[in-house]
Amino acid sequence: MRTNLNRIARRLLAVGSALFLASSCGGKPSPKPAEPAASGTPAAEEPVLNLYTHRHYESDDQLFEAFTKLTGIAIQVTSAGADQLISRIKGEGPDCPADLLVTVDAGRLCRARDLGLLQPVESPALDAAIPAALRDPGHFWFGFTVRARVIAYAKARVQPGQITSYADLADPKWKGRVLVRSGDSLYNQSLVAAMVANEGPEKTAAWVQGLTQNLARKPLGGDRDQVMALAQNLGDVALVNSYYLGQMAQSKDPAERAAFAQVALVFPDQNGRGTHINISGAGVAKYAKHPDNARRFLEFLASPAAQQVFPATSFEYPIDPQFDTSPLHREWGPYRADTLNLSKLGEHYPAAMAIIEASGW
Amino acid sequence: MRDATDMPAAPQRLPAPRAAWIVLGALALVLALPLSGLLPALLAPSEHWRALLPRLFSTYLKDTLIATLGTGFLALLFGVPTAWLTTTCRFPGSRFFSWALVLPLALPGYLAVYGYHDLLARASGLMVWMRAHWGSGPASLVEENLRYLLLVGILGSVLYPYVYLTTRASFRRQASSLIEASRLLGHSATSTFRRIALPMARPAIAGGTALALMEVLNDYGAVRFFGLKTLTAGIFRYGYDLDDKAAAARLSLLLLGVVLTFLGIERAARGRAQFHEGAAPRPLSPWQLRGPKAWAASAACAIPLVLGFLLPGGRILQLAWLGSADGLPRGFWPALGHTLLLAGSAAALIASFALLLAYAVRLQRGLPGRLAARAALAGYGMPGAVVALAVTLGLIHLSQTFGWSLLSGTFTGLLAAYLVRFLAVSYQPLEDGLQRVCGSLDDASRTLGIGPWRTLWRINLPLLRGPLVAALLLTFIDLLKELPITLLLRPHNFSTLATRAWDLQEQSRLPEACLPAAVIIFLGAAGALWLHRSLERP
Repeated sequence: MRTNLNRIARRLLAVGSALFLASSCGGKPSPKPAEPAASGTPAAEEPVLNLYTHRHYESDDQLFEAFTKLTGIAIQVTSAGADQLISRIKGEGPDCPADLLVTVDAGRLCRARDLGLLQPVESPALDAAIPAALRDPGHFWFGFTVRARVIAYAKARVQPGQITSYADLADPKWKGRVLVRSGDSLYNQSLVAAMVANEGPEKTAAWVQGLTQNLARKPLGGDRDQVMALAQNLGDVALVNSYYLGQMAQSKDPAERAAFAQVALVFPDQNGRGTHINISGAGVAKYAKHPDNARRFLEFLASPAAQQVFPATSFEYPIDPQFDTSPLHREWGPYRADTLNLSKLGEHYPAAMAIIEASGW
Repeated sequence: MRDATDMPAAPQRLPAPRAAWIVLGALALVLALPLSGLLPALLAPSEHWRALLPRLFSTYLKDTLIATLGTGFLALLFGVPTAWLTTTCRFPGSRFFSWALVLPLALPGYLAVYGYHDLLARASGLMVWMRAHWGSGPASLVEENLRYLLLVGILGSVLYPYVYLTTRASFRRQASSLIEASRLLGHSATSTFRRIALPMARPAIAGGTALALMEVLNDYGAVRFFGLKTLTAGIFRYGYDLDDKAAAARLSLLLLGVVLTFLGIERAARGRAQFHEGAAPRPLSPWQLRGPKAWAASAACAIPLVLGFLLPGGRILQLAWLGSADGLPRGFWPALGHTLLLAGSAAALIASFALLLAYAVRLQRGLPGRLAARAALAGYGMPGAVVALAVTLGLIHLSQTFGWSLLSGTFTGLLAAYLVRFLAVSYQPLEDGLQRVCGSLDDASRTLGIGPWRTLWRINLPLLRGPLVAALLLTFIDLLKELPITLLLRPHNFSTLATRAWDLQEQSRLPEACLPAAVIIFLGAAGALWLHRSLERP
């Protein structure tokens, strides 16, 4: 038994050390952890930028590399859900390594701002590049991509023009035919907050009530799962973010590509307020050790070079349509977006949450 | 789990050296950290508690109980008969099944669901049919319950090996004596199983089931995948999404209550009866099954293996193949390096501490020692989310009290949480080894005037090589698969294979997520087979 164990132990040791060597050769040496910059000029900042991000697209890595090449600033990332990141920044206090909080929702940026976790950034370049509705009036956060919450429908069972607005989703004629992800999703929460801002809480509550009564099934999965369910005939119309459709069209999973081929999309409320949009945006953390690097990165994200990358890779809309390079977006055509200033979402967020909680969505 | 208090007392007790107290003190400090965080949070004001309260039992506790009880039932159904068949019968494939049945241990629940992700989609035809024939109300009711059924089916299929392993070990110990006696008295296999083996294996079955239930309570990934609101999911939602640590602390307390209830039931199931199963098993001559019975036995073993490993594992491999079409996803190599480095160093740390602790407990056999042994084992009953929450709160508490910046986003927090949760995994084989392998050799050494720590180094350590390797490996494999703690406490700019798979899956990039998943499964399968071999060794 001894010899047996010896042999196993030796073998394990050999495998372990081989793996360890492989890993230490394969991995790039990571830059040293950020240390507080000595008080003084921005030029004294280390060439490091620490992101806490809710975005995790492959294309973002391309942008990070381009930014590093351009400026020599290395980007280090912690990714998690926006809420978790916010509670982490809060918990870490002045020791928090984050320089920039990146989210996929303006509501969360408003929340971080209201919790005192962000600092304002003065940058004429950002003000010029980003439309006022897509950034915080107090300069606490800036949007750099636009995402539209659209209605997808099964081409086989729904005619174009049969559904045109968010209000339709709550119409009893769609009973048992609507697919949507859970009310836990920040995309739904922001849509509801925007409705509260535009139409008041009573009307919004009635809409949410109607919507939940029309559901084809209890909410399950993310936006892509709703599109898959359309293809499987589990429902006829679904509320999804537009870029998911683009990503499914390019998916590595043939089932997703097949599902994409069976659906079409409509931009809701073109005759009303316009389609609800949200942003992917970022704000500089209050205790950022590299605030100047963070500002430079924001300016980079708003620059034409970066803006052209988003529609081509993640299928999000750029902040200025002139940079839109996506053939799919051209096919879908231009749309009218709701002009509500997204910094208003934060204000109406508690009311929206209360409505959602009450409906059990 | 083995009861530390059952240790036979040494005939002549040597006084415990001061160093033993240092180790016990260190353990107390490690455990004080989470407790100091969790206890005050229980009484702190909570923003969401009022809104949460009505759903506490109707949602969180209900989902938790359905998931655990359902999984426990299935784990019994899969684990016990297969253990019996592979131990006492010969049928086509029986030797193969005896080791292959442990393979699902390699698939943690959160990865197994990847393999089954499209099952609901495949059932869509049925849904459409039901909707057409029964109307949408009943159809969606069925669909909702189908989720529970799927979750329970998947978790039961991957967790039955806990029952299988403990039960099989028990059957093997009984084998030579009682089972053969029963055969000689003319009992058939079935009747021996029902009347002799099963009642005698009851403690082992209860122990294995308790382990499987702990795993269900620990799970976050799988329940989240199916949108179930278990207590662990609630701790994530309230403690980290809504940043209401007080509400999460109360949910933790309730969850620990569930754990204690299960452990209490396990104790009761063991009963006061003490079965002496005999120490060294003599291989028994197995029943040779023939004809339909033999094929039925093969099928009974094949079903759990297929459902718990081959089907989901194969599907994950297939998806990983799709996902690697354009090469490995970014961040794969660093994640692999981080995983090996983190799991390796944490396993070394935990095993060393467990060794010192097991030895200190051996030296200090009084109440403090017994308490320490219990405390070391208790961590494993604490679900990862609870440990992570408690450590987070403890670190916040420390930094507020002393102004230290030992924050949750550092390795300190991660290692502390790992230590609390996985100490038992290392402690168990080492404590066992100290008793079995070393006997009273170290007492003899100390009687000859050699100091206790020198004795540990010179006498015990060389003898303990086997248990030490077991402790290291078991802990390493558990750390490799660990998700909830790593997810909540990982430092900045750091991801492991498990968190990478999780991140990719959360972005609906399942094919890419299956690559790190496949590596975890491969390493986990190697570990599971090794564990099986070491358990089977006479």
